[in-house]
Amino acid sequence: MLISEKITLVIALWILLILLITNDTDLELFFVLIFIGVLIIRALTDVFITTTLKHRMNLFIYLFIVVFMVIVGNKIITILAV
Amino acid sequence: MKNPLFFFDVKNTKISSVFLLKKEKYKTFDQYAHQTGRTTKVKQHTRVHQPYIRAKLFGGVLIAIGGALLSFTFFLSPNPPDPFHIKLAFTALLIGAFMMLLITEQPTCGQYPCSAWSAVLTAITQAAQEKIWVQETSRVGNKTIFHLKIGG
Repeated sequence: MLISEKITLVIALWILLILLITNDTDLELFFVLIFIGVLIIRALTDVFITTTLKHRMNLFIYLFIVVFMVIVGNKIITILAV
Repeated sequence: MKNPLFFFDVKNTKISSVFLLKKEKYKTFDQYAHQTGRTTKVKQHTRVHQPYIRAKLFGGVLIAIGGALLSFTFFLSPNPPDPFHIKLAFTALLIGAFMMLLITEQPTCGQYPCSAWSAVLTAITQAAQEKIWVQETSRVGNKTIFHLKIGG
């Protein structure tokens, strides 16, 4: 099995695990936990993967950073409104 | 073995193609495809069976399912959006996107011409007197390592 296939499999399992864990909670926790998992996998596999794969994983990380900023901004607005 | 059979994408387990090669007694996949005039058909057949193409197909199906579920949850359902359905839709979308974008490594013949590797593997096969297959490739820095499988 290629390294990219292993990484995809681990990420898919992580997302499914998060889906099961955060069954009744909000969407924010779901996205934040997935983001943390992707960051950890990216950091751990940094030595083994090719540059192309690194760039492709970075794309997902940038996307999740934007989502994370939206979540944090939303929380700040909610707290300040109260 | 005097006339070894070569098939460079053995890691993708294209058993039907291997059987065809044995039946027709052609040495290489290219030779078989060109001499039988089935180049396009065989290439299409083998292309669909590549792992990265199958991953793209499966990822596309997952993205379509996720998009359909998301649109159903937000627009078509009479009830207010259920968080679990939204999570399920995003799970399908994310796994599909990861499959489509991360699994892109081509098999050996996609990266290097088969004819070049055919000569090298013919020499190794004749020396070892066994069938030798390229089972897997991996990269260490700028070097590509070929994991060979003998026999079978």
